[in-house]
Amino acid sequence: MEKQLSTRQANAILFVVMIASKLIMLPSVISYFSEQDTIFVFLFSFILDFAFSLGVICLIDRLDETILHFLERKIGKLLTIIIAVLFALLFTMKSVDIIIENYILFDEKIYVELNKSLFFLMMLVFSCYFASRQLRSFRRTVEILLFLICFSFVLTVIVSFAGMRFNNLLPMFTTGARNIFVQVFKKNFWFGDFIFMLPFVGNVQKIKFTKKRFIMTYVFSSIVILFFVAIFLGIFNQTASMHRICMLDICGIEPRLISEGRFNWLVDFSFPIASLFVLAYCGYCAVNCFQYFVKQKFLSDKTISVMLYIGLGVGALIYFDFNWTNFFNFIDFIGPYYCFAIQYVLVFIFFIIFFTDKGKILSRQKYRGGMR
Amino acid sequence: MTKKILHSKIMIIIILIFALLLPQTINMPKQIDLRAFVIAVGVDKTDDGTNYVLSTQVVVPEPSLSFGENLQVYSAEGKNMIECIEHLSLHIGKIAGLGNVSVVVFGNDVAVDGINDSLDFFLRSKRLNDNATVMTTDKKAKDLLSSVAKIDKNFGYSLNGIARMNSESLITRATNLENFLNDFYNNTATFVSQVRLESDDNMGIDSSKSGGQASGGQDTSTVSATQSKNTSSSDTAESEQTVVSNSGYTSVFFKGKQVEVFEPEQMKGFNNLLGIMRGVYTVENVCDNNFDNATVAMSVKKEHVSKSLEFKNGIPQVKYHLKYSLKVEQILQNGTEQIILDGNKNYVTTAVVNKFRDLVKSQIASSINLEKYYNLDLLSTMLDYKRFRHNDWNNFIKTLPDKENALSKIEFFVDVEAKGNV
Repeated sequence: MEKQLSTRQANAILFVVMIASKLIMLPSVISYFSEQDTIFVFLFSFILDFAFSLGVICLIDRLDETILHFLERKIGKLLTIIIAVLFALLFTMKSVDIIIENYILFDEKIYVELNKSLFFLMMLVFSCYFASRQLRSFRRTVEILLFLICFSFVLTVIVSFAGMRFNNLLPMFTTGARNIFVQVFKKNFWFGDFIFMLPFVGNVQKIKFTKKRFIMTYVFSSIVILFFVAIFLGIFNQTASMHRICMLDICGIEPRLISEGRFNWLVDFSFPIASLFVLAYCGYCAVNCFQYFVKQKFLSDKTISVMLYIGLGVGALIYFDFNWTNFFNFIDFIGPYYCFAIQYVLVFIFFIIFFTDKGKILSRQKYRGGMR
Repeated sequence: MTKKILHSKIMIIIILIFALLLPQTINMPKQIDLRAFVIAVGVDKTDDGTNYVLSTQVVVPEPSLSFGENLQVYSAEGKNMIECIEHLSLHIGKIAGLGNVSVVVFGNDVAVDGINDSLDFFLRSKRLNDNATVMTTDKKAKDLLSSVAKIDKNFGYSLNGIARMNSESLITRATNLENFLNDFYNNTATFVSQVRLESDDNMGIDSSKSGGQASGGQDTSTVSATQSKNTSSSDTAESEQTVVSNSGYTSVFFKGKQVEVFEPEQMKGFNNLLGIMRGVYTVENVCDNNFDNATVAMSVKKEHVSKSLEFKNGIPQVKYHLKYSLKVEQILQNGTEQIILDGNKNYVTTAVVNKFRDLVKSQIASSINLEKYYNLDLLSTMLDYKRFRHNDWNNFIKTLPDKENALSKIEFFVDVEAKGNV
C-alpha cells in the first residue's frame, strides 16, 4: 500500500489540527461552566484522549491497511458501512463547528461585514477542494503552516504574558470534581483528537521512532494548549467566558502602542488560516468515509462523496439557521452522547477487535526508509 | 498548469465565484463613509432620570498638512444604550463604531444609580475595545467630553491620559472595563478615577486656551444645527473659566454602584498598599545633626510591597511589608543656625526615615479604617484569602455570627522600611 505521509508530516498535521481546533473558542466556552477549573477540564480530557491515542498509535504502527479495510476484513462490509456513516457525520459536524467559529471570528474581530450564506458557501467550497484531494496534498500545506502557527503562538504568548495574573488561576477545584467530569463528558465534541489520527492508519511511512514521535507530539500539543488556557484564564479571570475569540482577545487586552499592536494582525490572520486547514482535513476525513460505501456508475465516487459532504454541511447549517447558539445548544444536548459513542465506545471496540486479532503480528509492517 | 486547473471542477467553481464577486469590490463604499469612529463615550441621565443620554467623541477626518484630528461631540437620548446608539447613528448619518473607544465616562447621576445596566451593553458589544478606561465625573459626562474635544488635537487620547495621573500619585489605578468587571464579579470594590471640570486654573489642562486655538471641537447637540451652534458658543463662553483636572478624587464602586467618592488625602494609604504611589512625600520638623527643624521633600525611586496572609488563633492577620528607596529632593531649614548640606549626598538619615515611616503608617491606618468603616474589600483582602487560604477562610467565616462583617475582623499589620537610594 502506498504511504502518503512521512512520520514527521503526520505529526505536523496532528499538531496543527489539535492546536487550531481548540484555541479559537473552546477555552471561553468551557470557562463559562468551569471558571478557574477550566484547566482541569482540559487536563482530564487530554489524559483520557491520550490513553485512546496510544491505542490508535498502535494501529498506525502495526496495520498496513486503512482502518475501514481492516474493519471490513474483521466485522464485515455492512457494519463497516454503518461505522463509516457515523464517522462521516461526526467529521461533518466538526467542519460545521469550524465554519461557524471562523464566521464569528471574521465578523467580530476582523470587522469584515460578510454575507453569512456566502461565507459558509465559500468555506464549504474550500473544504471540498481539499476533501477531493489525496492525503499527500496536506503534507506540503502543513509544512508551511507549521512555521506560521508556531510563530503566531510564540508571538501571542509574548504579547499577552505581561497581562497574566497568576492569582486569577486561584482558587482551584471550586466548582467541584463532579462538575469537572461532567464538563469533560459534555465537551467531548471538541476533544477526541485521536480520531484525526485514524486516516494515518496504513498511510504513514514508518520509521524507528514512529510511535515515540506520535506520543511526543500528542503530549507536546496538549501541554501547549494547557499553557495557553492558563494564560487565557490568568488574563481574563471571571470575564473569560465573555471573550469568545480567545486567541485574538488575549493579544488585544494589554494597552499597547499602535505600531506594536499591528503584530496582532499576524495572529489574527494566521489562526483562521490554520483553522481552514483543520476544516479541510475534517472534509477529507468525511469524504473518505463516504467514499468507502459510495459505489455507482454515473459520476466518480469522489464527486458523489464530496456532494454528500456538501449536502450534509449545508443541511446542518440550514437546520441550525446559520446560528452559533442553535448549534451550540444541539452540541450541548445531543453531542456529548453521540460523540462519546463514536469517539470513545466505537474506537474502543476497534481496539478490542485489533488486540484480540491473532494475526496482527503477521500484518506488522517492517520499517522502510523514504517515501514511495 | 492551466490545463490542470480547468480540469478541476472545484477550481472552476472557485474561479467563477471570484469572477462574480471581485467586480463588486470596486463599487463598494469606503468604510469611513459608513462608520463613525468613536474614541470616547459618556453616559448621563436626563434631568427627570428616566432616559439615558449617550455622548460620543467622534473623529471627523479632514485634510490637513499636519497630523491632526477634529473631534466632535454628538449626543443622543434613549431608554437604553442600544436605543441611544441607534439614535446617534441617525444623527451622525453613519453607524457609530465603538472599536476605538478608549474611555467610558459616567456622569455622577448614572454612577450613583448604578452603571450595571450601561456596562452590560458595552460588555455585550463585541466590538468595544476591552482596554477602554472607565472613569467618572462629578457632573455631566457630556460636558467633560466637550471640553476635552477642544484640547485633544493630535489623537493623544488625552482623557485616558488624564485618568492615569493625578496630583497625588503619578500613576493611579486606572481601571479599564476588564478590571472593573472582574472586580464586580469577584465581589470586591473598585477604584475609578474621577475627572472633574474645575474652575481652578492651577492644575489640569486649560480647555479655554486650547479651545481658543482649536478650529474644531464643537459641541453638536441632538436638537438642530442652529441650536447646536448656539450651544457650542455658550459652552465655549462657560468653559473659559474651567480646566479638565484629575486632582486625585476617586469613585469607589461596589456591586456596580458608586458608594463614595474618596478625597485625594484618603487615597494615599490605598495607593501605598497597592504599590502605585509614586508621589512626593514631605516630612516636617526633622531634627538631627544635619537638619534643624527642617522640612524635607522626598521622591520615591523604588517601592516594593509584599503581603502575607496568616491566621492566628483563627483570626486572619494580613501583614504588609513596604520597602521604599528614597531620594531627598528639597530641604527647607527652618532653624536659625542653617547648615548647608553637601549636594552630592542623599541625606536620608534615621530621623528622616522615622518621620517618613510615621507619615506612611498614618496614611495607611487612615485608609484601612476607611475600608473597615465602609465595609468594602478595597484591597482585595477577602478575595486573596479565598484564593490562597480557601479552607482556612471558610472555617473562619463559619465561626462568624455576621458574615457580612468579616472584613472588620481582619487584623492588619504594616511594616515600613526606607533607605536612601544613593
